[in-house]
Amino acid sequence: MLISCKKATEFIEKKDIFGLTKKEQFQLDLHVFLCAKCKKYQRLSEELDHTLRHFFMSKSDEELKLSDDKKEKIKDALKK
Amino acid sequence: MDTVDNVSEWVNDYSDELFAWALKRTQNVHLSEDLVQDTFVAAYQSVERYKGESSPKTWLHSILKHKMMDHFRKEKVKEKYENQSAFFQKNESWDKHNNPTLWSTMDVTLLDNPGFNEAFASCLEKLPQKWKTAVVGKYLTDKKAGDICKELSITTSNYWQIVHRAKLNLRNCIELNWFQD
Repeated sequence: MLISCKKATEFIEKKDIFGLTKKEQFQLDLHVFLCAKCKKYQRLSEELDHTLRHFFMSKSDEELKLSDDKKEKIKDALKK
Repeated sequence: MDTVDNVSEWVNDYSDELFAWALKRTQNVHLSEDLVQDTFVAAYQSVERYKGESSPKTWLHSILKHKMMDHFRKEKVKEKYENQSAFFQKNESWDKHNNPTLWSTMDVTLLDNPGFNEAFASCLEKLPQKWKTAVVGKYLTDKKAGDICKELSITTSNYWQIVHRAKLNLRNCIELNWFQD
């Protein structure tokens, strides 16, 4: 029933993306209850989520255009 | 009008959009340029199969999607990323040099610090391309996990394992390059 730290931290990510089965949730809760390091990682993981979301959001408004130079190169590639 | 002119016209009309789509997902200018070029070359080579049932835009998009899937199917992730011995011991408990510590990112000034963002960007840059795209999929797009897996040619369990490993690597990289200075 007891899972390793590696497994527990994997479950933390799985929970966030797909959700856990009842058994997995119980295994994770029990592990985090007993393991201070993984309890801390659970919070660190949330901080990482927060940082990543913030980072990508701040970049998402940037104008993304293909350079004219590259467009001409693509047209040249068609002629080959 | 011959086919070259036709497809060149499409380059004018749709290449920006296709490029933006690829760049958003890969966060990699060079790869996105290559994928867009491959898309138009493939479109040119199979233009007689395009029957005008969908718009050129939709057709080009589906080619680009397949090009991206092909790319990720072929991408090999270096072994040093696959094994997590840097983070966990043999018995799968935390390596003593890697015990989790908190960042206090809830402190907004850290996330708005240009230096931190620069360090973060360069750490993100170091991840294998497939991982980066998985991470972008989770945090930037509002797409369903299933669709992201399809685009990356990975299974669902692969997906959360990749995001998990990417986060461990990012954390390590940031702690070395930012917090320890």
